Order: sequence, then C-alpha cells, then structure tokens
Amino acid sequence: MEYVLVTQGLSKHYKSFKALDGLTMHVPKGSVYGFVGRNGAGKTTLIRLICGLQAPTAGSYSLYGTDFTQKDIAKVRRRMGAVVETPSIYLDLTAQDNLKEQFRVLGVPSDCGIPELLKLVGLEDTGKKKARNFSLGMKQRLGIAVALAGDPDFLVLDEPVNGLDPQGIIEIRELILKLNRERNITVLISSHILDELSKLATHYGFIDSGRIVKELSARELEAACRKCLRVEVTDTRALARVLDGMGVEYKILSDGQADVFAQLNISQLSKALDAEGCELLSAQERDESLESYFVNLVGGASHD
Amino acid sequence: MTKLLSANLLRLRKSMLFWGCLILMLLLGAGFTLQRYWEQAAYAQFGQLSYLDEVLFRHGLLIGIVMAVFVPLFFGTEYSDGALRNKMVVGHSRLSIYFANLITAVAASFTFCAAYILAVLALGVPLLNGIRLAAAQCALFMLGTLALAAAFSALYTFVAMLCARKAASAVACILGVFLLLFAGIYINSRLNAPEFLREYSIAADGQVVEEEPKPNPQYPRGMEREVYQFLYDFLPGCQSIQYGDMSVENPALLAAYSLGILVVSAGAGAALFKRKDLK
Repeated sequence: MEYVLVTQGLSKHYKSFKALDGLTMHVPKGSVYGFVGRNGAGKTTLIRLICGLQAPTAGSYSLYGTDFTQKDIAKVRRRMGAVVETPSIYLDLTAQDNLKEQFRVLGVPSDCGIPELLKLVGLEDTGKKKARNFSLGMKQRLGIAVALAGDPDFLVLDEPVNGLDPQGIIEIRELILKLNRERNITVLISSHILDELSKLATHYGFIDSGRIVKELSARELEAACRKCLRVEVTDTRALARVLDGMGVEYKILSDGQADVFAQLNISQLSKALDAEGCELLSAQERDESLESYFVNLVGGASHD
Repeated sequence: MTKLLSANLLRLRKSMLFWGCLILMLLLGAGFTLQRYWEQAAYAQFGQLSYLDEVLFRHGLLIGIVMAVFVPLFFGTEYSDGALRNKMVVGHSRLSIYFANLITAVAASFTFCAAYILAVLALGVPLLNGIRLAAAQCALFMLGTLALAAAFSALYTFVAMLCARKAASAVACILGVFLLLFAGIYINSRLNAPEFLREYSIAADGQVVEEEPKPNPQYPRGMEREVYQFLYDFLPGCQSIQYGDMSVENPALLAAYSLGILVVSAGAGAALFKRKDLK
C-alpha cells in the first residue's frame, strides 16, 4: 500500500510534558483518515509537526516518502494543504483577496482559478464582504479553499466541524467527500466527534496520550462494531457444527467464545447444542458503536 | 522569497493600516511645513527666516513612532489570523518568511518617509526658504534617516515575529520607542548641560557680584561623557532626537550604527524565529 504520511516513533515534549510519545501511524494514499482522540491526546501536536510548524523532539515522519529532514521536504509540502485549529485567513480581506494572497504565496501566476475554488466551497456570492463578517462555517470553508489553493494531493483538517451548526457540518462533510472522491485528495481529519467521522473516514487511527492505540480500516472497524450475539459455550467445535447446520455467519474468538451474526432463538440454539453435548453458558447481544469501541480502546476515565 | 514579497506587497496595498500611516506622514509633513511658514510670517518684522532643511529630515523623529504601531499590527495579524501557517505549510522556510517580512517593513518605512518628504517639498518649496545644507551633506542626512527607519523596522520586526500575541508586541514596540525617545531627551540634556555653573550674590552695598564659576555635577566628564555620546549616537531613539532638532554632527556615523542595528537584530531575529515553536 502506498502511504502519503508515515510517522515513526514521533515524539514531542514540552519541558516534562509528552504531547506525543513515540507515535507511529500510516495514512494510505486516497484515504480519508480519521484521526480520533480526546482533547489533549496529541492530535493537533501531530498536525503541527507534519505541517512544519514545530520540530519533533524525537522520531521521524515522511511525506510521500520524503523524510522531514531532507531538503526536498519543502517541495513535497507544496503538495499539501492544511487547516490547523482555526481557519488561517486574513479577517480584513474578502474571500477573493484571501485566495489572491495565497496564490501569491504559492507563486501561482494567474488568479483565474479563484472563481472555481470559491464555487467549490460555496463562497462564490460573498462579493466584497470581509471574512470577519463570515459565519463560522463560511470561515471554515474559506480556510479549506485557501488550503486547496495549491491544488494539493493531501489535505490536513484539524477539527473541521468544531463549533459548526448542523447545516455547516453537513456542508463541510459533503465538501470533504467531494474532494476525496472527485479530486482523489487524501484527507487526514482529526476529530473527537466520532459519529461525524464515521460518515467520512475510510481509515482510522486512534490516539491516546500521544500514542496510536489502534489503526484500522473502516471495513475492519465495521466488522468489529457489527451487531452480534456473543455466546460462551463449553465446546466451540460443537457450536460451529450447529451454526453451520443453521447456515449462520459466525466468528470463533477463543476456545469458549464466538460471535454469531444473526438473530437466533436462544432456546433452539441451546437445544441443538445440548444434542451435540455442549452447554450454552451465556449469550450477550453486542451492538458496539464507534463511540463505545473508542471508549473500550482507550479506557473510559478522562485524561483531561 | 519573491513569492512571499509579492504576497506581502499585495496585502500592503489592501491594508487600511498602511494607508492610514501613509496619510498620517503626509499630514505631518504638511503640518510641520505650515507651522514653520506661519512662524516665519508671524516674526517677519524681526527678520526670522525659515528654511526647508529645518523640517525636511524630521521624519527621522516620526518614523520610529509610526513604525512602532505599523509593524506589530501588520505582522501580528499573521499570528492572530493564523495566516503565517499558510506560508509554512506550503514549504516556505522560516528564514525566507522572516526576511520577506523584514524587507516589507523596511519598504513600508521608506514609503512613509517618502510621503513625509513629498509633503514637505510640495509645500516647503513655494512657502519656505531653500536648503542651507550642501548637497553632499543633504544626501548624508537622507541616508542617515533612511538607515534609522530601517533600524527601527528591523527592531520591530524582531519583536513582531517572535511574540505571537499581536497586542503584546504592539505595546512592547510603542513603549520601547517612547523609552528610547525619553532616553534621547535625557542624554541630550546631560550632554548639553553647562560645564560650569555661574553663581551670583548681592553684596552689602546692593551690587550683584559674580562668584567664581563652580563645576556642574550634572556635566558628564571623561569616560562618562564618552559613554553618553556613544549612546546618543547609537540608540535609534537618540538619533531620532538629533534628526528632530537637526543637531546631527556626523550623519555617516549614525547611519553606520543604524545599519549595524539592522544587521544584528535581523540575524538574531531570524535565528530565534527558526527555532520557535509555532501554533
């Protein structure tokens, strides 16, 4: 698999505080990578590091295979766009002037791409309105437009829906999906709004206390969170025979445990197992949401 | 760096702050010239004449104050609005960002000086008498004031680029320039203090008698005087005072000091900015 961003044992310490503590992650090309963690877990710190705003204390990262210490990293960054924390826009300029400014920063010779960018983010009718008079959602979209000015292949968005109203959240979500699907832009989104992230992400990285706790694809996560009946029996081979006979999908977890992905009549299952000389010890319905998966992964106690 | 300069110049053109400072310098140039003209008219019967060079270089006094407002507010916006990140994310080095901002600040300060000079010339040529300084001396004064403007720009860029809080850097620059100006006034008064104090007494017959002059304790002597003189020539606020009252004796030396301040503060600022953790 080709990766846009790979970090290896990345650490960032502020005096004695470890904001990142040996973080290793992989962002596949073409993915929408949901970077999940509670407040203070180290999401923004990682983004600051990969954007070159801060230097790591230890470890390394590479963008498109180029290590951050190499000279070429500046050229590689040209393929990147980012909105870190708040949208980076001049509040005393209009949307068009903000984009003009970023085009100058990038050395884009012509401003003819600006109307298209404004249309893409739905700000084509803002005219001479200054960015300071924009709603939060509009500012966020302008921030994304500025990040898109260099026609990047990799977009980094730090908490892009924080503080937005439901309509604003939908607009940003649709924009991100559009960018990923139509322009094939790899997107790294940090968020702690798990429900929203689950509508976008193709891959997940769960961070806690500056470390990646788990990395998995959306498909793997879906399987892990799938509605099932977790049964505990004395003999899983007998259970497998019974379930095969019923034509039911299942997954053996251990010698005594299995997940069954179907609505079962417990009495019938118990009777069938009894006939195979196996006892049904317990049966528990499991319907794990992304939220409970995350809580199980990082533990429930607050670290804040 | 040319891309960053181009972006900065675009923002300058759109900046109300820039145009506000430019208009202020025009008005000050016009105001000082008219004041001289009215003084000349009011005291015409005593034969008082006002000359153009009395006001032509006074931008040396003003530029430090104007830039103390302009630089931290203009570049502080990059921190407060987060726009500095846009430059770094797309791969511009910190050194090029720092030096592009420094060059922009210097260019803005020269533009403000030019606005002042233009206003003085536009009104002063028809209303006041000509320039008494020789052409070469005039050029040296011009070089000195521009070097001073560049030194102030470099000092304020240092503060604005290393302090992430716009309001704090603005307060620091404004307080700083007034401290420097007050230092200039104080040193000026010490250097111009009389070496001896004359004392008078009234004799028994009612006549005023001049006593033997006594050494003035406020008059700096020896090494102390040399230190004061060095500070008076070196510190930008003190140079401003000298250009304000046209008491500059060696404009080339002052220009050299200003360029030294420019180089040292730019080097130190760039080195520190390179290592700074940004948010």
